[in-house]
Amino acid sequence: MRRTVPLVITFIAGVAMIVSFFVNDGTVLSVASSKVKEWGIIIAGFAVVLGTGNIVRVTLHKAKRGEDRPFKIVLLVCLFATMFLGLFFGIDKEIRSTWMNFGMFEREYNPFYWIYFNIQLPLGATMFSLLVFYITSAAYRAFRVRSIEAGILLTTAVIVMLGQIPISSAIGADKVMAWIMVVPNVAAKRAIFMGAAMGIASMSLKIILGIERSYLGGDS
Amino acid sequence: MNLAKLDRRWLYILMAVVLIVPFLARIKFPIVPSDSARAIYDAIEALPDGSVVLVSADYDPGSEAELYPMNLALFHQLGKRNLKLIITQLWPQAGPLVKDCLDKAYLPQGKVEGVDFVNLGYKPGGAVLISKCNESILAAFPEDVNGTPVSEIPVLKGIQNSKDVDFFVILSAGTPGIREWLEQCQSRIGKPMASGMTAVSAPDFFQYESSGQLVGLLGGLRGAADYEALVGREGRGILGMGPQSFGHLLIIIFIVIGNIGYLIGRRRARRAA
Amino acid sequence: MLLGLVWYQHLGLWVAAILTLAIFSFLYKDNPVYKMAEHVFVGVAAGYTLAYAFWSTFIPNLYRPLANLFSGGEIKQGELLWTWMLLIPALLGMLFFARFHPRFGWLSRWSIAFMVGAFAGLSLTGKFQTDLILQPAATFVNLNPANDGGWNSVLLINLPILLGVLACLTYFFFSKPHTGFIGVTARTGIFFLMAAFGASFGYTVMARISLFIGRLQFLFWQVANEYTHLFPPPT
Repeated sequence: MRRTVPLVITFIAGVAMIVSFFVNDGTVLSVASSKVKEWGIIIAGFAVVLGTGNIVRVTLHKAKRGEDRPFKIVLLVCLFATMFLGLFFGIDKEIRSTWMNFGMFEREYNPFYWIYFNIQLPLGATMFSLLVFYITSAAYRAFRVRSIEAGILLTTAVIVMLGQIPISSAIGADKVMAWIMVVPNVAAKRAIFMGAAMGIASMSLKIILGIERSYLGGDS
Repeated sequence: MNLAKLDRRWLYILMAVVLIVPFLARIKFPIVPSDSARAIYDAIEALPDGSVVLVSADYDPGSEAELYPMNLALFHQLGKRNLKLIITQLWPQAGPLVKDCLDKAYLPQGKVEGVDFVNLGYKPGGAVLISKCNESILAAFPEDVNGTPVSEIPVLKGIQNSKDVDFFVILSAGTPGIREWLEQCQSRIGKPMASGMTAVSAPDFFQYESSGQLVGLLGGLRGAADYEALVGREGRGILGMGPQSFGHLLIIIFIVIGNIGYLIGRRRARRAA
Repeated sequence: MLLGLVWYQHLGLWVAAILTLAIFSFLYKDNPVYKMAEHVFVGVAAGYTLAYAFWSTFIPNLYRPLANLFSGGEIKQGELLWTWMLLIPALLGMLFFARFHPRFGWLSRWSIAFMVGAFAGLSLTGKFQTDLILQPAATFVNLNPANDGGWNSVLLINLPILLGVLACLTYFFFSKPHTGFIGVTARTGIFFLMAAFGASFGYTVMARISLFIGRLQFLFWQVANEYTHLFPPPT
């Protein structure tokens, strides 16, 4: 039960996807493999919920141990508030049924939308914008021409950065950049992704055939 | 003062100033669109009236600065044409941003929801979802974003699956995104596909443009600026490229100064030895 | 000056601006204000995603067809069995949550097994077709001077690409020692790889700067301009 059933499920799901790649003629086999994909969409939806569930569990655990308790409480309050607003009012810009609006918002503006644009969007966007400062510091401290290889890396990086500047065409940097992107970059990335594809394809085959089982965890 | 031991926060302040000053001065440069951007623009312009275009918005607030301006410019172009537009999202957080782009760039051009376009909304599953769309878009998306059953939406009449789509534009910030679309959709059905992506991921996709799997690609803010120039609308992309250029120059200067310091230090160490 | 906007829009601008600055405060040093904003972000994002998945997946793809089935609604011919079988993904999906129970945790492997199997099947065929058939094919097909670019594009672009791909693949090939001709080829491969990494670095710098400019555009064009009219956004 614990070992065999998951291996059988993996095999069926994997083979269904491979079958659908080759057969799409309306026969039972192709219809079945196509239906399995609809199941995949639904199960992926549950996985999304699982992600949120995991955050709640880990946060509760940390809060119980007293680690940053006030912050963990804030996290949980925000999580449940956003979730309930979304579940209650829906996810559209305007609330569909007006009775839930309490007359507070013009044009039935959805508070869930308000949270997205005024809390989530600025926080998410700013969080990643911090990286500009770290890359500045790294450019100053870490990038050293210690070898020919490092020299090539730095030279192409500088040309690409110059080439992105709109007026760099005056010195022809945009043309050189275009060549770098289309020749050495394409050659190396093509080789990298060909290698990766070979690795992933063989790993996938091992998973489907039940040879690779580490994703099922270690015990029993 | 020892430059190597400079507090990192001075570097931060310098970078902030170098970006804020040209931003406030509204410095902007003439944009000459890249061949790649022009290829996408021309391909969409060349689509006959009534063609079906699918735009998948697979991004989130973390990449909003780069992909939202692209999305806006793209919708400006699509709004001018008489095309059928299908919109999907593989990332839940793209939903409100796409809606915003529709409200600002597409709907004001007299487009009607359900007649000219349909927003099918978000679905999880990534590769599974895209692969399902090869067989049936309608089964993967039984309703549009407003809860209308797809069978009742006029613009979807005669559209069964991805093979009925004439042109794909994928705005991609990562996984799931353009790679999944290439693997599960383009490589199987061979329809023309273009992509706007974050600058971080763009270098990993030039080989697909070179092989003809992608019509063209827009990388980061420069890509957005290119597309704004093609559409003829000055927006966040073109105005962003001013400060952006100064930022690039500062990083280059930092790399050069850092290396001069390093080489001097190495020579001194050699002499001492 | 309060123009046009209603109270919750003003409140929104202020909240968004304060949260933006709270995140930037981390650049000075880690502090409780940043930490608070960070926790708000995680909470809101997780709650948002769950609500979004509920309305965009569970209702249309699972609940509606099943509700229709149980309420005796009209079902398309040949779909009856498949609609009943939607109970399978519902069950498998629910089993994910068994992992929160110490005794039944192993049941969640069933749902994980489904997802792993499906993605393995899709990537096997997808990656094979994309990166192992179409990509090598393009590498050789583009060498034909009868194509658009003629000899120019063959000599300046497509031949160097072919040589580069072969050199990089030689570098990745560890079954032979990298000496002699293979050694030289592998070293050439390293040069190609370094140029590509340099290009990636250049693009990454562009991405990071753009994100900060995006925040400047928000703070000045949307917030500051609302109250001063000094920083008009592009129309």
